[in-house]
Amino acid sequence: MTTLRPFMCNDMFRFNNVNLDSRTETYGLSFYMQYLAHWPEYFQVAESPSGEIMGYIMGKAEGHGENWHGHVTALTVSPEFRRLGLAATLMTWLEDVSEKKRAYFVDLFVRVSNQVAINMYKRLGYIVYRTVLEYYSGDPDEDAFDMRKALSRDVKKKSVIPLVHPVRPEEVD
Amino acid sequence: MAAKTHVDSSVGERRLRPIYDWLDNGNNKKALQEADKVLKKQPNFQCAKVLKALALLRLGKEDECIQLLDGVRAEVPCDDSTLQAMTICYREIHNPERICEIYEAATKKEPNNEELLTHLFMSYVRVADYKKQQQAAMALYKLKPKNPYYFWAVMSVVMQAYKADEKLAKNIVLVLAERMVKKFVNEGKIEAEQEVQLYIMVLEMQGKFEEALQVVEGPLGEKLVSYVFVPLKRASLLMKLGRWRDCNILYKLLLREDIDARWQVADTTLEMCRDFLSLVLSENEALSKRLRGPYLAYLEFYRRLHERGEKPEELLGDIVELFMRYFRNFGDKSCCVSDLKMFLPLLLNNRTKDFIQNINETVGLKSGELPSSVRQMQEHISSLQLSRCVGCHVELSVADKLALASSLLKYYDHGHSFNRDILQTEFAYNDPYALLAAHVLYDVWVETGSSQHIYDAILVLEYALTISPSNFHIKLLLLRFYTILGAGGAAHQIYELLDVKHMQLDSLGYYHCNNTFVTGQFAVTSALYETTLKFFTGNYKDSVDHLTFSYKFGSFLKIEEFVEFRERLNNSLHYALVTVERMLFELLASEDFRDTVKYIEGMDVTPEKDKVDWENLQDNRDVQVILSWDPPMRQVTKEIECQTFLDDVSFLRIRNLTLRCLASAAEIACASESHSQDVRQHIHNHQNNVGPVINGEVKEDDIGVTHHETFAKISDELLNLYESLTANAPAQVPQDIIGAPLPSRLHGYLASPSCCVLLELLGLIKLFIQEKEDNSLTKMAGRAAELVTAAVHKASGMIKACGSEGADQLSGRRALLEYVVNTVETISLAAILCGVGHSLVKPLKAPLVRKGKKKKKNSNDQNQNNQQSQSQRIEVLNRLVSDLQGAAEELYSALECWQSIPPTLSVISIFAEDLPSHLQALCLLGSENSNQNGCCNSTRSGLGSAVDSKLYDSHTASLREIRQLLRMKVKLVDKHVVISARNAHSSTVLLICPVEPLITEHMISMATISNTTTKHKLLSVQGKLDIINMVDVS
Repeated sequence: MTTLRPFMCNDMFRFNNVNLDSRTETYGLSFYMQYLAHWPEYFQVAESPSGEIMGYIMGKAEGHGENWHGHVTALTVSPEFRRLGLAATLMTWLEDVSEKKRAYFVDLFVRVSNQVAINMYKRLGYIVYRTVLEYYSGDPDEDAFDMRKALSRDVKKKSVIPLVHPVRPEEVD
Repeated sequence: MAAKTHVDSSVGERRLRPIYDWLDNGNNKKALQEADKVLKKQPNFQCAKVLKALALLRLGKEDECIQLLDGVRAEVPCDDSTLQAMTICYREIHNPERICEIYEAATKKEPNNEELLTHLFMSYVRVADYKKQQQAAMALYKLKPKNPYYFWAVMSVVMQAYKADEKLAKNIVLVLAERMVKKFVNEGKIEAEQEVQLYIMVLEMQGKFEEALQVVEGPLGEKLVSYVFVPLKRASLLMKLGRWRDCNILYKLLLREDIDARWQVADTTLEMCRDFLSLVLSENEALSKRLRGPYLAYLEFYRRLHERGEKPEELLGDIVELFMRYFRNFGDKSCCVSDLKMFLPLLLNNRTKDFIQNINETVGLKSGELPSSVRQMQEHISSLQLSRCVGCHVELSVADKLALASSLLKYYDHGHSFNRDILQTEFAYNDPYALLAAHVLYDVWVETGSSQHIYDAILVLEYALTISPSNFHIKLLLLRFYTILGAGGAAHQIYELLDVKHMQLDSLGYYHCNNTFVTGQFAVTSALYETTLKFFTGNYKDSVDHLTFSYKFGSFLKIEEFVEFRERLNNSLHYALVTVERMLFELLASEDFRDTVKYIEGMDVTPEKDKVDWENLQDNRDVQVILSWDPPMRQVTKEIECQTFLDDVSFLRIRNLTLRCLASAAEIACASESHSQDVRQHIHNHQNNVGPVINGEVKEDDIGVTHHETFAKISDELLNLYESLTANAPAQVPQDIIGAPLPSRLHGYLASPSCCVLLELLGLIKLFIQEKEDNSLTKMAGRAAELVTAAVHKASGMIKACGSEGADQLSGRRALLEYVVNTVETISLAAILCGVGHSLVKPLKAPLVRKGKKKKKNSNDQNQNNQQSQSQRIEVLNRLVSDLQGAAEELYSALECWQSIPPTLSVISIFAEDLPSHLQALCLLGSENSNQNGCCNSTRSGLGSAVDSKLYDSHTASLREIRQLLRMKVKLVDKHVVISARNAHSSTVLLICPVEPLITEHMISMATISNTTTKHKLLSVQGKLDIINMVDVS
C-alpha cells in the first residue's frame, strides 16, 4: 500500500529514515522551499499505511520551445521500502505531470558510478543522452549521465538522440 | 536629459561593480575601501553609501552602518539598487520593519511606480502584515490591472482569516475573499490554475463543500491542469458531503486504476466491500508483480470491523490466514514488519503462537538449520523480527537471551555468503541479524546493568559497520550505546559518519547534541551549538524569501504552510535550549570576570523579560528514527514523547532563569561599579560647585532599584521553580525502550547540587544589595561552600570506587561524568557570582577621598557601622572564594586520579565464547594469534582493541577537557582573591586566610578613613534620601 501525496514542509522533520541514507543528500532548507513554492505538484511523497515516509520525488518543469521539459531533481526511497517498485511509481507520477504540462521530455542527472539507479532508469525507458564531465564536485569530481525519456508531445523523438561528445557542466542549460 | 541619466546610471553601475564583487567575495575591507573611493568622486552617490554601510555592518560596525543608512533614508531614495541594498542591510540588522518604511516613503514619492509597489507588498509579506499586504496589492491592481495582483489581495484576506482568533471574524473575512473571487468569476476574468485553487481553498475553509465540488466539476475545473489530484479532490469533497454512493463509485474506480493506493472505500454494505476487495485481490494475483495494497486492505478492513465491535472473522475469515497471505508474498521484503506492525494487536491471546508457527513453517528452516537462499534468509529475518514484535523475547531468561544473541550471530556470519552482489552503498542483506543481536544484548544490559553487554553490542555493531558501511541504523545504535557508556568522543565520531545537517540538526539534535556536554566533550559541544544556531538563525531569515516566491508563483496553497513551518522552526524547543546552553557555556568557558561581564552585556538577554514563548514551544524531534521490533509496550508512545519533551521544557526553564539571574547580577555589578565612579564624580563636582546634578543622581538610583527588584524577582522565580520541580520529581523514561530519547539533562541536574548552590549565592547577593546586617550572610555562604565541597567529596569517592579491584568501570561512567561536569559548572557559576559580590563590596574600598569637612558626627558613627559590616562581607566572600578554590583543587586531583586508573576492559569476560570462530577472531584476538580454546581475555587485538582504545581515548579526552576548564577556574578564582586583597590595601595577605580578629580591626580602622562615598552608595541603594544633597544643604 503506497499513497502519493504532496510533500509538505513538516515532512522535513521526519524524513530521516530516507535521508540518512548515504546516497541521499540533505539540502539546505531553502532548496526544498524553492521547489515547494515554485513546483509544488512536482514534489510528492510516498507514504506507508502506518504513515511512514517511504520515499519522495522532487522535480520541476523548465526550458523553452522544444526544450520545455520535466526534470527529476531528486528521487529517493528509504532502504526499508526498496525492491517494491516504488521508484517507478514516483517516476510515473512525474512523467504524468510533465505530460499534463505538455513537456517534450523528462531528464535527470545521475552519477556514472550509480549503476543501480542507471539500470533502473533504463528499465523505465530512459537513455543516456550525454555525459556531463565532472558534474558532481567531490574528491575526485565525478561525471554525470544526463538521461532522458521522450514524452508524447515529442512525436519524432528528437529529444532522445544521444550526443556523441561529452559536455562540460557550464554547457548544460 | 533622459540620455544623460542613462549615461549616469551606467557609469554609476560600472563604478559600483567592484564593490558588489568584494562584498560577494566576503572581502568587506576591500569593499569599504572601494566604496570610499567612489564616494570621493561622487559624495552623494546613494547606492555607494548604502554599500559602504553594508560593508561596515559586515565588519561589525553596526552603529556606523545605521548612522549612514539613516542619512540615506532621510533623502527618500527611489532607485531600485539603492533600495535593494538597504533591504539587505536591514535584513542583516534584523529590522524588516524598516524595509517597509523605506518602500512606503518611496511609493509616496512615486505612487505610479509598479516595481516599488511590488517591493512594498513583499516587504509586508516579510513582516506578515496581512492588512497592509491587501492594501498594497489593491493599489498595485488599480495601477496595473493584472490578475496576480488581484489574487495577492485575495490571499492577503485569506491570511487575515487564518490568523483571526474569533470564528465570527474569520467567517466575515472569508466571505469577503469569496466575494472578491466570485466577482472575477462572474466577469469571466479567471486566468490561471492557481486562481481556481485559491477559490476552492476559500470555499473549503468555509465548509462550502458543495460549491467547491461544483467548481471542481464545472468549467473552472478544467483549468486545474497540473492538479493531478482532481479525482481525489472530488472524492474527498464527496466524502465530506456524505455522498457515499458517488464517493464509493469514484474511489472504486480509482482503486481499480491503482490497486496499491490507500484503501478508502466508503460505506456500502459490508458484503459489498468484501466482494470488491476480493475482486481487486484476484486482479492483483494475476499480475506478474503483486502489490501489497490488497493484502493490507484486508487487514485494514478487519481492523476497522474489529474496532466497531463487529465480528470480522465471520466476514473475512481467520486473521492468521490474512496475515499469512501477506507474508507468503512479501515475507522476504524489508518492509514486511513495518507493514504488519500496526495490525499485530489484532492477534488475540492464543493466536500469536499460531501465527509464529505458521510463519516458521513458511520459512521452512529446521532448528539450527541455516538459510539456503537470500529469499529464505530474508523471510527468516522477518520471522525473527515478527516474533520479537509479538513479545516472544520478553519472557526469555538472561541465559536464553545470550544464547539467542549468539545464534543470531551465527546466522549473521553465515549470511555473508549472500552479500556478494551488494554494493557498498547498499545495506548488506544480513545486517538485520546483527541489529537484532544488538537489541537483544541491549535487553540483557537493561536487565543486568552490566556494561559488558553494551560493550558486546558495540563490538557486534562495529564489526557489522565494517561490512556494511552505509547502514545508518547501525550507526544510530552505536551512537546511542557509546553515549550510554559516557564515551562522548566515540559517539561523536559515529555522529560525523551520519553527516547530520540542516533540518536534521533540529529533528535529530536531541540524539547527540544534547548529550555531549555532560560527557565533558566541550570542544565538540561548542561546535555543535554553533552549527545548530547558524542553521536556525539563517533559515528564519531565508525562509521568508520563499514566502515571497509563493506569492510570485501563485502557489497560494503553500503560503499558510510556509508561515506555520517558519513558526514551528523558530519555536523549536531545541533551538531555545541550545541558545540558552550556548550562552551558559560561554560563561563557563570565560577566563576572566571582566570578560564574563562583557560577554553577558553583549548577550541578547534581558533579565526582566523572558523571551521564550513557552506556550508555543515546538517538539520537532524525530523520535521514530530508531528501528525497533519491540512489542507495543516497549515502543516510543505519545506519552513518552510528551514526558521527555516536558522534562526538557523544565530544564529550559531552569537554565533560562539561571541565565537571566546571572545577567541581572552582572548588570548590578556593572551599575555598582559605574555608580561608585559617578558618585565620586558627583562629589568632585559638588566640591567645585559645579551646579547640582540631582536629577541625574536620582535617575541613576532608580535604575539601580529596578535592577535590584528584577534580580530579587527572578531569583525568587528560580527558587519557586526549583522547589516545585523537586517536590514532584519527574519520572525517568524506562530504559527498556530503545528508541526513546535518553533521559533529559534535567534529571542529572537536579541530582547535582548545582541549583541549590546557585540559589544560596543568589540569596547572598540579595543580602549584599539589601545591606542587611545579620548572620544569614555567613550562613548562606557557608552552605554554598559546604554543598560544593560535599559534591566534590562525593565525586572523588565515586572515582576512587572506579579504581577498586574488579569494578565495572564503564557502568557508572556516564552518570559520574555528568555529575562531575555539573559540579564544575557549579564552581564556575559560583565564581562569577563571587565576582559580582566582590564588585558590590568594592566601592567601599575604593580610592580614598579625604574626609568631608562638613561631615556630621552621627554620620561618622554610621560609617563605622558600615565599615564593620563591610569587613564582614569581605570576610564572607573571601572565605567562600577560598572554599571554592579548595573544592576545585580537590576535584582536580580526583580527576587526575581517575585518568590514571588503567583501563580494565580486558577483565570483562566477553559473552562471545560461543561466537562463530571467524567473528571471534575478528572481534577479539586478531586473526593471526587466535587461540583455539576460545579463551579471550589474554591478548586483545583487532576490532576489540580498536573499540577499547576508542572508549579509552574518548574518556581521556573528556577528562583532559574537564581538567583544563577546572584549572582555568582555579586561576580565575585566585584572581578574585588577589583583587579584593589588593583593594583592601595592607590586609592583602590576610584576606585570603581566615581573618584574625586583630587584623580585622586594623582593616576596619583603615576603612574608617575611607570616604563618604561608601555611605552615599549604601543609602542611595536603599532608596533613602540622597545624602549628597543633604550634605550640600548643610
